[in-house]
Amino acid sequence: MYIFINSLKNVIRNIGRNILLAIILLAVIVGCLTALIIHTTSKGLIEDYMALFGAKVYINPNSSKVSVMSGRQSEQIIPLPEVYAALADSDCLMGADLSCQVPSVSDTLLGLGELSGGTAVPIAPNGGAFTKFPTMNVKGYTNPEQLDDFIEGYRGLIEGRFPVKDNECIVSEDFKQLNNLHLGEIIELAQGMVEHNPLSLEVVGFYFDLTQNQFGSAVDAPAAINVRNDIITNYHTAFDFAKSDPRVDTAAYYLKSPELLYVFEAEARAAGLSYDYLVTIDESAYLRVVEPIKGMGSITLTFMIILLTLGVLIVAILAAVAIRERKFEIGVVRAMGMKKHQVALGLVFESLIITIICLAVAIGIVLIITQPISDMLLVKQLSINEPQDTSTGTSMMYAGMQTSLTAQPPDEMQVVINMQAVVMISLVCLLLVFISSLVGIAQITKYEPIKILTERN
Amino acid sequence: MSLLKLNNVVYRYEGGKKNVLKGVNVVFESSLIYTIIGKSGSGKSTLLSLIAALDVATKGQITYLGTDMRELDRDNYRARNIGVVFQSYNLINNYTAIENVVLSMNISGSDIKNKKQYAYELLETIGIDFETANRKVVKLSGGEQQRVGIARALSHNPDIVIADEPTGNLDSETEDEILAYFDILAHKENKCVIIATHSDKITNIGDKVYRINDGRLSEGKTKR
Repeated sequence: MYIFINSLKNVIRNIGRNILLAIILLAVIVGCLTALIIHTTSKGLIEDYMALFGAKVYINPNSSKVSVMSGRQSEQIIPLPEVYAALADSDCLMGADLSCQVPSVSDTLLGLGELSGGTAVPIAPNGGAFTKFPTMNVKGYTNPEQLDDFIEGYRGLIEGRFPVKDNECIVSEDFKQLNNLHLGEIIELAQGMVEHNPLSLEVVGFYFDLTQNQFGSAVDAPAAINVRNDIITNYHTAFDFAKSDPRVDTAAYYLKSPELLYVFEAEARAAGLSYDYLVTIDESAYLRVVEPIKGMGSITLTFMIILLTLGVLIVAILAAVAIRERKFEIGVVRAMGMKKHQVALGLVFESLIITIICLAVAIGIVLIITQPISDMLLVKQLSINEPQDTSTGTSMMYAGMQTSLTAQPPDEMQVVINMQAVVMISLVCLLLVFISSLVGIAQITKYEPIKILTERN
Repeated sequence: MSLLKLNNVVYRYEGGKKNVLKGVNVVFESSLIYTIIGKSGSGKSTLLSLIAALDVATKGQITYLGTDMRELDRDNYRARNIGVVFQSYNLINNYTAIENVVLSMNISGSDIKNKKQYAYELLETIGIDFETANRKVVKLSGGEQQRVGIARALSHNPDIVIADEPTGNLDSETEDEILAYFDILAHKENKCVIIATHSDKITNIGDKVYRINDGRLSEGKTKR
């Protein structure tokens, strides 16, 4: 204990020398901590981006082969549903969103717009038996709750719950009122084009719907395209319902990491995906968002390495000079019987005390300066990485094809002192303490007290 | 009581060609003042540094209470069993007088509860007042510094007190006071006091006087 107290007093006794050391340490710690915070924050942002956007897979027709494809049957152009289903089970994925839409009819239910639009006319597909024209759409989704309309608030559950099990559904409030539906009621549907393929669904929820129809905002749009007639269920239910004409309307796959793209593509090819399709992630969007942040991360990391190297060198030199100046003091305490390891411990305590004080001051300074520095760096990086041309060309809406991401680079980065930065700066401080102590310890082990005192006297 | 025994002790500096001490045999007992006289470079300080375990004999044996010095923890021995008064004081300059004394007590592992109070009392005994005790030693006079050096040497209540030219830098009056204190240490507090000196005045207070000449120790006049 006395060693620690003595070290504490020594920090004050040698205040002049220690102030110089503290200034260097403070500069190193402030620099490193600022760099670390910006680096870890930017790293976190990149990881978040990867989780949200960067790993989204696009399966697009290869433009160089489009002309060849256009001469084929549609089944050859559009990947088979089995391919999508197989890919959805890939280990490379953190998730997959598939959807399937089946135009439907019902003997007992009316569709909005059916009465006014007069769309319930018989048609004769393929010259065969007449069936009813579709008046509603059964739409199946892997994650109905995660639909953009629900997330963005254009639709919202007002009663009941989302479908969880097979053969459950939710319908719009307008559809409910039109057909006087109640929770738990079973509705009977059939495919519009196929007479004998019934589907029974239990109504488990109702939602308000503020979305617009494809051709305008009128609620009384023709029944077949009226979004208020959507009957939302899970993907499996809709897919099974569409057995005679299974079709995947949209498919979005989210890789665990962008690096898994090539593995995923190999799986897709093995599952039967033609080479007429490209399996890609949106690199341009990825670069547009990630590059400025990545640039900041690189700059701060480089800065930190240079600063730390210089800092360690200066601290080592200062420690060597300081210990030479205190050689006599060490000789005296050794002559009084203090052991080498006690002297060393005293030096470690002194370095530790100075470093902790510097760290505390540094945290205060960093809290003030980091955000402006981060903003400045981000502005610079954004100007460097400004996109030359962001046009994405024509989008062909094949099943499974996603349009280019609209993700934009962040115009600000909220930096916070995170746990990773705290751990790293603690390690940096320990390194500085270690270096300064090591230099001192290396020096004191070389000398015997009698030699130090004799030299002095 | 025989405290310290030197048996045919030889010392040569590392890389040196000549032995500084050439077979020294001597026994030191408690309650006596030993004075070692000799010319500069005769080996007085070397002998004291061996006794203080600041250095190790090249040959021969030094025993403390029957234990070979080589088998002792020399740091512990310096911290607990011996007190050294240096000619040039060897105090830590940016410490106060009291801090120098308390540090020595801490190093020795002294179990005295109020070390600061004990150190004040010790300093007062040898003529350092409270105000002076709280001044940095660099601001004290030579005599005051030497008193602090003595207080430090005695702070852990050692069996042996060695002093290398303790009054070499002091005026006559201060020298007398310090010698009087050494006399008390040996004859009232039963310490073994070993003093290396040029001074006739110090030689005269020695119970046993040894002369060192060209590395050899010979006994001179003996008071008792």
